[in-house]
Amino acid sequence: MQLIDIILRGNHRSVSVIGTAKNAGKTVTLNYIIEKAHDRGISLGLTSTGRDGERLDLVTSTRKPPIYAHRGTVIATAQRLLEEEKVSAEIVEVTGMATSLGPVVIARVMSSGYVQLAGPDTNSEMKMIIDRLAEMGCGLILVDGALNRVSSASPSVTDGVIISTGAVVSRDMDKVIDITAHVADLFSLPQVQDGDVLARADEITDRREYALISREGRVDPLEVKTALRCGPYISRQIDEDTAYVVLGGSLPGSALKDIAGAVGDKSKVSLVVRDATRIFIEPMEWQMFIKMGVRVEVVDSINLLAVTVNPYAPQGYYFDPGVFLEKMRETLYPVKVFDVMQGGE
Amino acid sequence: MTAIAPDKVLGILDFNYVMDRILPVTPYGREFKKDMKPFARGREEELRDHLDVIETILELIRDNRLTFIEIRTIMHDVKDLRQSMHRAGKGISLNMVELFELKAFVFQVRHLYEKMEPFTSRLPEQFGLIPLECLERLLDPENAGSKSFYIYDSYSEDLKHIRKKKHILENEFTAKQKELIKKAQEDLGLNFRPGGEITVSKNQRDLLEAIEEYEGLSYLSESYINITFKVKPTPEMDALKQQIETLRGMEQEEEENIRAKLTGEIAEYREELLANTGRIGLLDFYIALAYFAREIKGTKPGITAADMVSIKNGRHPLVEERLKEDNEEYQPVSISVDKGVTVITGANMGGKSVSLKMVGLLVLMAQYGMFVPAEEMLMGLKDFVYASMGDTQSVQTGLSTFGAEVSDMIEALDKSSRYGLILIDELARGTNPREGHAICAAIVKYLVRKNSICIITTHFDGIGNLEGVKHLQVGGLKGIDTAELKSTIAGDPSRGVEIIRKHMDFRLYPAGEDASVPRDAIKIASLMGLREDILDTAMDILGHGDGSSVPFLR
Repeated sequence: MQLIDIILRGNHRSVSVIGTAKNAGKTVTLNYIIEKAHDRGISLGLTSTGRDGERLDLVTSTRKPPIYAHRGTVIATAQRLLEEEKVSAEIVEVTGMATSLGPVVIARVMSSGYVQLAGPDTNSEMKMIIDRLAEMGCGLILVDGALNRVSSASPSVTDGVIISTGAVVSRDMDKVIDITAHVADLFSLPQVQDGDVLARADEITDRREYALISREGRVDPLEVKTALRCGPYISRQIDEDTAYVVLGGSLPGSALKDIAGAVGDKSKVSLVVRDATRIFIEPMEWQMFIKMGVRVEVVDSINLLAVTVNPYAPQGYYFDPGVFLEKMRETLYPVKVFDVMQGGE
Repeated sequence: MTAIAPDKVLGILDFNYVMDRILPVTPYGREFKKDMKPFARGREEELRDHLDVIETILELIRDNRLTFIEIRTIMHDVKDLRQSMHRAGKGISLNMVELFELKAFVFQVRHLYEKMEPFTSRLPEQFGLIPLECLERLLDPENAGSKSFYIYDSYSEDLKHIRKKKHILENEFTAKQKELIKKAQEDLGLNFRPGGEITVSKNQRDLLEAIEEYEGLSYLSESYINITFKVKPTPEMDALKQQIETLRGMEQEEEENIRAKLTGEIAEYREELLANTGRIGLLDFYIALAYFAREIKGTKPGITAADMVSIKNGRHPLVEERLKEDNEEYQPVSISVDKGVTVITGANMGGKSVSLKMVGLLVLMAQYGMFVPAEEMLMGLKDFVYASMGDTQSVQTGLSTFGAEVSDMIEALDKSSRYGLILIDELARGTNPREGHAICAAIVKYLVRKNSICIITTHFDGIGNLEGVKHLQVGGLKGIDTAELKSTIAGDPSRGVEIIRKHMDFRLYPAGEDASVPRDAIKIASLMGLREDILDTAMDILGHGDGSSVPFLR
């Protein structure tokens, strides 16, 4: 089965591709899916999570590699990127979403060629863009996603996610596999089951606030702006009655340590974050907490469709493609793994 | 004419709250709002015309509710394009997004024109939009009616020809490339990446040898560890590619020519475009004023040359809104005042301050050209509005209550010979009662002879009976069974204020010749549940030891 089949089989209308590192093969993966979808006559929509907070010169000097868009593809990108690339395109809509490169513009490509993408940077805006592209008849919407602190639009807004990983992450193949498995593991974190709690946690994390939710469903807001140095404070607020600790921002390992340490019976309290991309923790540390029985749940779950691997690192080393692919498959099973550098079978 | 009241007074009278509720939706309309100025004395006729337009639009909204929702929806999407219009005027080629936005604007004008057409005869000429048929045709040459914009084929025969040829060649190239990739995949048993590339590790010597021998692949790039090959285009394909590139260059050049041409034609309509931005702004602004009038259930104030203010059942919109949040009803207040001094006395919690603020706010609103929250209002335009309400701001800046008040008074007295409105809440309350009373009486005597309308609330005796002073009294708790009220409050002390408010008559009544200031502070304190022994002592001090005047205390 090919990667494209996995995407199409599940009727995934929108898919983000994110990389575990730069040069992990994300662009190759995107271009691969674009070509395969084009071959099958699927009308594509393309966008990217924004480059929130980056300065203009930084944005322009660290260009992402261009992505090939066929005639008829609908793209959502910043006005200036559209103009500078001289993309021959029909302007369909100028959205009110601002980026440092002008507003996000929705355009239909009229002449096949390379495009630069910089889309919206919040979840709600990304959802709006995806809906707009779908309304315009895009059968598949690809989002050039990001897995970092800078961008705030999360891959959870798309129906499916593909992780691109590769030798660039580390010279040690086992470490690459470890880190990839860790990301895949985080992406499989369960959504909060209780409907009421989920609704509350949705509101709290949406406002980027912090709160405790008791067994009876009472919400006690916490006066916290970030979990980074507030672990001890948060842990002091937890009592017998606490069922959920909702964290509106990111969850760094240090905070997890403080909070988990404060909970006697770890199975009785769940930490809740917006989605898995808000967790920043080393694989080994994470494993330790899981063994301790710490429970982490998410508001927005992520549907991991597949992982693509790139055995070559631009630093000049590489892994045996066959061995790398096989080991990755074994570790990540049942998640499907593909080597798009070798043609993606 | 600039402001008739300093920012401080606008703040005290909650004028900013009112302004915040006037919400034009276009950038042009917001500019009109920003430029709002009070109508100066002598411009009564202009103000009446202005209010008449709001009245007309209000009627139109009432009878065509949905049409106006549509009009507002169209206006919501209107952007500020004046920069682009000016750029076009200077001959700078507009970019694709600018052309797109201008197309949107031209059709917004068209749609607004169509929606407003049935009403234009009822509005002044400058509200009429000017549809620009020529630009509509220019920016939608294929009459597709879609919002999107493209350098359409129909702009030039050359462009059409170039694109068609390029398209054919591109398809030809792709088909040939696919064929080659397919053949190479079959011949070598390898999977190529889209675009016909493959990367092979230098370790795979056998494979490398096979590839190097294979005619159809060419070397693309190499690193220490691998080599990337690409399906080799045939000379015929190379030629195709070159042709396509040439055509692409020609296409871009032609597109630029067309943009320049379009810009030139748009520049010819610059005046009309700019006129439409102004007209949309004006319409938007008046619609916003009308919607605001609707929201506050406002009426058109009558503007007279006479020196008076008369309000029938006026409401303070902010207080009304807050009461509504608590599910309480606002009790409207009527008042009629002429030049000279009007003194309001009456019960604590009787709403004197709110009534005072209400008068000030409604006068400001009328003078700025808004409808007012009242059943009727008639007033003459003012030179200035002044308010002193023991405002906490001055106290915070270091002045004592009394100090702040005196400094306010100096300003107000200076202006009092002009035709203004001076509002003073509890004049001289911030000092000892003996001197306060004297200062208060002296100021009132001074103001009685002036051209300004002064309204003053006070607890001091005798001020209302000074010569030439009009004396109004709050209805208060008159005719209420206070004993029963007290037991109600005792049953639910936390709602004391609310219960008293419900029974309070906030209306203003002319006081009799010899009316004195009501003594109800003890009554209210008692109702609220202040300790009875303290109240008794207070009564003793006042010399009502037997408590006969307040029977419910016993």
